[in-house]
Amino acid sequence: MLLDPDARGQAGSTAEAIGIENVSMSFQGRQGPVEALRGINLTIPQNRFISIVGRSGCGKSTLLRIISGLIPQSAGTIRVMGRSTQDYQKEKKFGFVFQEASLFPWKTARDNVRLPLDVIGIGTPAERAARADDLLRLTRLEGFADHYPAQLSGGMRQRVSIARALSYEPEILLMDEPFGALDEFTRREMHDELIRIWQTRPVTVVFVTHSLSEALYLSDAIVVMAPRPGRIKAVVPVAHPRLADPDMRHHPDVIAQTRDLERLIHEQ
Amino acid sequence: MSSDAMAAPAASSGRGSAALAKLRELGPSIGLFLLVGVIWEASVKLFAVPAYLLPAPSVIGTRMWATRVMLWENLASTMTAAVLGFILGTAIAVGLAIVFLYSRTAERALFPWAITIKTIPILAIAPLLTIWLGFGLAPKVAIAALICFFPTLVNTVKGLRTVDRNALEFMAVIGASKGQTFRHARLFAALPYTFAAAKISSSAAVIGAIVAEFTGANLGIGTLIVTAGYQMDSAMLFAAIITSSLATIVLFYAVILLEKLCLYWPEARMDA
Repeated sequence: MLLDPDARGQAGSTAEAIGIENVSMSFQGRQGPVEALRGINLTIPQNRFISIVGRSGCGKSTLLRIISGLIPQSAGTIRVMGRSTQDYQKEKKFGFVFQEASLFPWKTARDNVRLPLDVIGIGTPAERAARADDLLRLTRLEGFADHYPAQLSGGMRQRVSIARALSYEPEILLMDEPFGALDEFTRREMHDELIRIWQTRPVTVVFVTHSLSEALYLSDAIVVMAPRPGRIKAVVPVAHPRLADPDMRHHPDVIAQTRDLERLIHEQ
Repeated sequence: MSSDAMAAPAASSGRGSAALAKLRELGPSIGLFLLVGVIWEASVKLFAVPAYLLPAPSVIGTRMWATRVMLWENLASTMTAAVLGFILGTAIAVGLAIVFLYSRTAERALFPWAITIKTIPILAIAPLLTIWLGFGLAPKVAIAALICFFPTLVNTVKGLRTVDRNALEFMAVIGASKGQTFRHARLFAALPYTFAAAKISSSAAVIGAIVAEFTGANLGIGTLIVTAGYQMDSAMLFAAIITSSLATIVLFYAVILLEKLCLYWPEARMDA
């Protein structure tokens, strides 16, 4: 399934960022083999914002982990910027933001953000600290650089996670229900924040969520998945992507699209 | 008026109320302690209790002062053994926990041995260690180390594995090596667990050293206790008990101080 290259209104490359071909994934469960993913085909163009939605158990997080090479697929191929995931990761790293802030409690916000730079070995220590401070400014956390995660709110912790994922300038940002643990108001605030950050730098985003309104608000296109076995049901281009206008949530087109998507998810 | 000038009196009054709060916190325990001492002293005088049964606090105090040099020498010997044993036992336990982390095979092979060590009655093995290692420091250190070993091993093994799954996945995504993952994540995750065990085993180490001295040693609180016991010298027994208890408390708080230094981030410390 190829996403409509014109889905994004602005002039962007239509070159492929991620190509998924016939990917399947099964593992040995307690009651025999479990088919987590079956025959996944998907092409994600560069610098698009793609959401993957579906009920729990549809394999959306599994797919994200297969793309990033955290777990191996049982069959099929994944191309990342024209290479295998393993080859790609020899030179570049994926950005990854998890649902629960996976920050280290013993590191300050600044040290959490610069951790990937320390691990990968980018720049001098002074440059790393400076870059961390830049990113904390980008995520509007200036003044909180020396705070530990326990001293930050849930939304602020996710901002640190985003800053950390952007610190090594990834071409591809994978987000696994990053705002799932936040309250509705903080979550909406983070949506506008993410749109703003995304507009400052070209990056391909694959965003896993179970919230349709979130997917509609943020993405160029939505991949709808169904469970048992995990498979792609449809790829839907979003009518009005990323206007960063809260009123858009009540726009008739958005409401109509939400209804269509809900129908897609609920029919088996 | 500058903001500094505004802040100064607020800070000093804050310190004053903190001292008051501390006094309120400690007051009841100090008060009861003094009360028990007075009742004890009075009862011994009033009912003319023989000194070999129950010496008065004043008698114990006088005795401690009179024998202070001897007490200190014996205490130093016991505490040297306890502290060395504590460090040795903790170091071996932490080292083994790290081996277990990276080798399931090693864990399967060695964990039954660790449990066996745990089940050995310390009193039973003390004479054996004295036969093997002589009457000096070595057997005492060994017993203290044995006592500290198991709880620290179990806790550290658990702590090293408590790193959040997503945090480990993140380290994998950025291509962190095992060493980097250990240095940035596992080490800190384990520290609260290791310290929770170390706090308990620090006092156990002193008990271990004293028990080792029971079965044969030329110096130490344990030898004092055995000798005083034979002579029914209750004042000396109390003196030995009080001395070692005070030293154990000092050691316990030293470990807590070290813990505070190592566990510097908020919500790091576990209550044990």
